[in-house]
Amino acid sequence: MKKKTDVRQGTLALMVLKTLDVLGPQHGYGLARRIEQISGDRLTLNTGTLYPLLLRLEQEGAIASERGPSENNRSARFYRLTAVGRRQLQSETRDWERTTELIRRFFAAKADDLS
Amino acid sequence: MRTLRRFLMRLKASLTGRRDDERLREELDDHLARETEENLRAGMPDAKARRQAVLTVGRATALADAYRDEQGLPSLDHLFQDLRIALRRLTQAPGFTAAAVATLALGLGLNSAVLSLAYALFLKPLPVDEASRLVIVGRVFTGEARRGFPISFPEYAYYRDHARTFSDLAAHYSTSPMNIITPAGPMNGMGAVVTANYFRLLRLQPAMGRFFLPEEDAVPDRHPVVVLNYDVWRTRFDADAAILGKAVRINGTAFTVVGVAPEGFNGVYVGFQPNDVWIPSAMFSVGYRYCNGLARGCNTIDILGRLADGASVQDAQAEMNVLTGQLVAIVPTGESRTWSAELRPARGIRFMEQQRDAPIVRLLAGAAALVLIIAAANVAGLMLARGLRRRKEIAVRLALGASRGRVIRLLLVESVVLAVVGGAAGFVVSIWATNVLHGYFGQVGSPNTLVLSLGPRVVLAGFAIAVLTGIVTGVSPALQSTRADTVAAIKEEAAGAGTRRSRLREGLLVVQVALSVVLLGGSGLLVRSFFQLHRGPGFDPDAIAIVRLRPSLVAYTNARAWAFQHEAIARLEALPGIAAASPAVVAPLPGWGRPAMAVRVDGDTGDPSSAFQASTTYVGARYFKTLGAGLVAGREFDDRDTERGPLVALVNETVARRLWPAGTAIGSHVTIGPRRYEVVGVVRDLQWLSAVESPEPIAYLNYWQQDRTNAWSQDSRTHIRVSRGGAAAMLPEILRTLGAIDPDVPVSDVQVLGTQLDTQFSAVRAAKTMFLVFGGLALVLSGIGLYAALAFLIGQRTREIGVRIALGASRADVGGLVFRRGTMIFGSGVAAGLAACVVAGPLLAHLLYGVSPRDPLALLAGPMVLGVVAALAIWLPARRAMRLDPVAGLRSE
Repeated sequence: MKKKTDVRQGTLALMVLKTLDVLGPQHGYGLARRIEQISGDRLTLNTGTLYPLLLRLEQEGAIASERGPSENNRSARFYRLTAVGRRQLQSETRDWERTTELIRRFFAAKADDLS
Repeated sequence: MRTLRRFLMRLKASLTGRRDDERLREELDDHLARETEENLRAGMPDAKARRQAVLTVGRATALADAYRDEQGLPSLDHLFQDLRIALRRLTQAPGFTAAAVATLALGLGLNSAVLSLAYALFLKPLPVDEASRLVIVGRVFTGEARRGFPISFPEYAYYRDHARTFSDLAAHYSTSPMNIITPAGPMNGMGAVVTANYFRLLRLQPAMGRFFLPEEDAVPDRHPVVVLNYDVWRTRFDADAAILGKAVRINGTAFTVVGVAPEGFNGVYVGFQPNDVWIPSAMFSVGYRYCNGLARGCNTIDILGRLADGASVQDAQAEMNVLTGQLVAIVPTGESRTWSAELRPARGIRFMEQQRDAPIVRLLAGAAALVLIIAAANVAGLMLARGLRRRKEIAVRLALGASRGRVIRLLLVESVVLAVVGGAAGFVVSIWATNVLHGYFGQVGSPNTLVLSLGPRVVLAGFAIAVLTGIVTGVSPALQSTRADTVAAIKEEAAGAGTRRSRLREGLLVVQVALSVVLLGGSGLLVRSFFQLHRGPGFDPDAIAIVRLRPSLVAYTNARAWAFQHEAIARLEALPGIAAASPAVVAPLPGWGRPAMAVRVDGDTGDPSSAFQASTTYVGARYFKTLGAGLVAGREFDDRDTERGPLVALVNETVARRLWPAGTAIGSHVTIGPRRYEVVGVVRDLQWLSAVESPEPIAYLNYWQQDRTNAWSQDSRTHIRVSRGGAAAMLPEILRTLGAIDPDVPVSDVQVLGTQLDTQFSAVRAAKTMFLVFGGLALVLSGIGLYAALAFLIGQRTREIGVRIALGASRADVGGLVFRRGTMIFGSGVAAGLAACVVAGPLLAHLLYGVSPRDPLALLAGPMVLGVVAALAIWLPARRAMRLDPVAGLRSE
């Protein structure tokens, strides 16, 4: 069994937004599964983290939700990205890329590069 | 932005208590169902699939908590929880709650009343559009404490023509006495002489007709037009719809009505007699006769300005400084003293009265604050005692894992709730106190237009003070109560644990006693000066009526005016019940204008500039008979002393002693100012104020022999002595008699001298009443505090006292223990309080008459009364300690 890690603080929101951006409206369970899948099952999502996070994002206006029929004819709450959320995703993606790039450079640095 | 939005949503969820718990359950059910399905699809048996799913999803309650915390605002929720607990605990202890609320209500109520007074007097904007942009300009003389003196018209015109920081600058003289002939009879009114831009500056719209046109205010005396006050139009002109264009006689001149002012507008002096009419400044001669209101040196007008857009008070002040510099250089104003123009926002009542009332309001505010501190100290003491009784409860809360901060917050919420409830109850107190204050600070004898209401600002400020009081009151008891050692508290090993706490309590008590001594000392001083004041004049002011007769206002010739004055005296003296009547220029009251002049005896060849100076005033025949004040030697003025007769003078004892030590005053000749007089009599020194002040040297000159070039020499304040009963009952008869002589002559300020004296000292009386109330409250509160503290001390040491008695201590020893504690607290409080009185006493000095601010009798009376209360408060608990049954004491745990 692969070692599973907890989600780093603050990154889950980004993952949720990105998943909704790529896959379109999702219900909570589907979202959890997709995120775990994309992580290659290296992540497990705690429901106690996910649902409060969804609520918070909705309060912030990054996502919106409404009830609708799901694939097996059961009713479910679907979350979708709003225009605000899309802008937030873009800016956070840029930030994140800048940070990883910076960190990568530091990790790649060797002693003779600096001499 | 995002955070704000989220905060607002959560706040809404917290406040409405509406939670989407339903939604969470749905989501969980859905999640669980899908998880189970997944497990089933993976081949698990039914039960296991379900169990596995539940395990993955997690404990529903923990999830719900996390979810709920996301939804609402946890700290706010906790606060509501604390509030609920606090309310429950307070209702469980109704005695404590009632005592604390009542105590705080008194303290907070008095503060609200003083706040509403201060707001109305100093801060309330004028009731016009954008009143915050209005400023007044007054003259300030270098080195003079009083400010805001009037300015002359040419000076105003210079400012008006050159200032750029004002959108409008208007001049007004708003206390013009006006005799208005209305269909409902002559009316002794108060009018305003204003520039044409006055109404535009105030952004008013007429209720009818129009206001003044610029051309109506351009040429002196050409356009007699008038705007009527709405109420005057309604009540005196019977709301005549066809009033416009009609003629109204004012001070003997016919004016044409051009408009009616909007309802509720009474002029710019708030709390003053309302303006009944407004006339343009070009008609100044009708409103003011003592000098030409439009000329240099005739300082009668006040300036009102509206700041231009973007200009601040500082900008305008800077510009005025520059303009004043130019003005002084270009326009000789005849003013020898150096002066400047000072701007201030137009707020509250007339600035002159603001200056008069400011010290006393400050004093009242200080006293109210002291009462509040005493009340707060008392409640803090109560809470400390309660905290001790609640040790077990608090310890259990701490032991169960409540953080100290949380428990402190709980206790603080309790005290804030108490204070806020007290503040609300305090508004009842403040309604009473506001009424008392209103009586003193409104104008006596004329319509009182000062409105003291608990407006939203006052309520808000009162509420803020209440919350602050709650926090201050609660914080140290809360800190103390939670510091207890948990284990010891649960085991109830109380003995000794409270030392630090009782020290704090005793400290509070000492402060309380000290502050009470200060308040009682202040009350004592004011009461003493009040009695000095009332014994002051040396004659019975209630037997004397004074009426102001002003023929000068209707432009009579001197001959006609004086004929009227003679006729008035003759007819009054003929009335049954009137002993004597005499004209004078001022009332015998302190501070009324009696110009000082050099008095030189014949043969005095000394330097005229260093000659003896005495105050001078004019009185008629039988003036001292009218006053009922004694003649020492010679005679007083009588009917022999006519206009054309030899010039005569009376001097008071102070002058006589000074100029004729040998007692040869009668028959001597003196030069007073430009004229030479024969001294015909010496009269007693009138004590205006108090028995202690040194009497003023006064020379009395004959009313009929005045210099007739002054317009006001036609006018009088005629004194009338009533032989039996009070003068008040005779006033209608007096008015009828005067009206029968000539209905056109304005008769005003019809008053009993005693009332006038009261009015003049209304501030002192207000201070006396309030200080007596404050002092009484302080006395009661300190007594209760002392009693509660000592009773509590006994309760706390019951066991210890039981042991002492069991081991053979005598009852007296035990009683002494309590007694010593009590007297020590009381003694230190009194000592501290007296020291504070001696240091702070001079602050009261300007309100005191004939009493030193360190008057021992006044200062010691308070502590003595307090001592009686304290003795009782000490004796009761001491007796209880002595009667304690040792067995019961030991079992008291």
